[in-house]
Amino acid sequence: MNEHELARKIVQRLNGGLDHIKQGTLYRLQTARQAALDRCREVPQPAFNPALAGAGFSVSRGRFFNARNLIAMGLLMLSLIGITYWQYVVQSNDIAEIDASLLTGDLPFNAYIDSNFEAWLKRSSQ
Amino acid sequence: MVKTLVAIALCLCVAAPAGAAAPAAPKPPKPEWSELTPAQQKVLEPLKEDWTSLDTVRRKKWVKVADRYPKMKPEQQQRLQAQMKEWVRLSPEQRRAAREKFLAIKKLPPEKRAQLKAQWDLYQQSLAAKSDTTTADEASAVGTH
Repeated sequence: MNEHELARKIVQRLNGGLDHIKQGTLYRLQTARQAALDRCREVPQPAFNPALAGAGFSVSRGRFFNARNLIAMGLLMLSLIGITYWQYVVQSNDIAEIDASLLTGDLPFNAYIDSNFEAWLKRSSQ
Repeated sequence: MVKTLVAIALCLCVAAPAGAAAPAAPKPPKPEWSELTPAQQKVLEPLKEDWTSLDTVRRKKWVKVADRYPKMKPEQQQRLQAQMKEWVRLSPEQRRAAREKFLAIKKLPPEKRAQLKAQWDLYQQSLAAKSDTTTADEASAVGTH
């Protein structure tokens, strides 16, 4: 059975199923759809339309400051704070570890920044 | 949903600089020298004089270094204390360059690192010899006048 054949059979089966939906189920589906549409119409039209509207989308105060957006914003802020803090801690630990190793190593730190030593090394290797 | 996310992102972009620009009294760097434990103060004694010039990030870094101190070998402890004063007086660029070089050298095989240490000692000896020659020349020049 190829892909088209399979698709055709699935469509046929779905359409067949549609014809056999019980009246009660059909009624409940219609009612739910109507209720959803009514709720959608009840949302007040934006009286406040910030400058964002000109940029291709509009955000109304009522729609924007709802619980879902506030939770999303809170989570986003918490994530940003968490990431920043984590980066700070990791970076700070790394630098402390590097400095401790550098300052306790066999070579004094001057060996790493003395450009004359570098030149001397190049000369002596020639 | 996309519009919501874009709106949130824009709000954050607007809010962040506004928060940053809000007038806030600069916080004094922490911790103060007096807030360190006696053990930390003992390790960081060479930095006592410079402590007021260090910002919070550097102070906290040194506290972490001090906390590692008891686990170090005696010769490492000695090297650390001998170098920390000069180290804090380097410019940030010098410290960054030193760290980068250190990390690059750390990746070398142990025999290469040992060779580098021997070369550094040799270089120091050559500098000392040159300095002795210069001093002797100056002394003889003064003697002939």
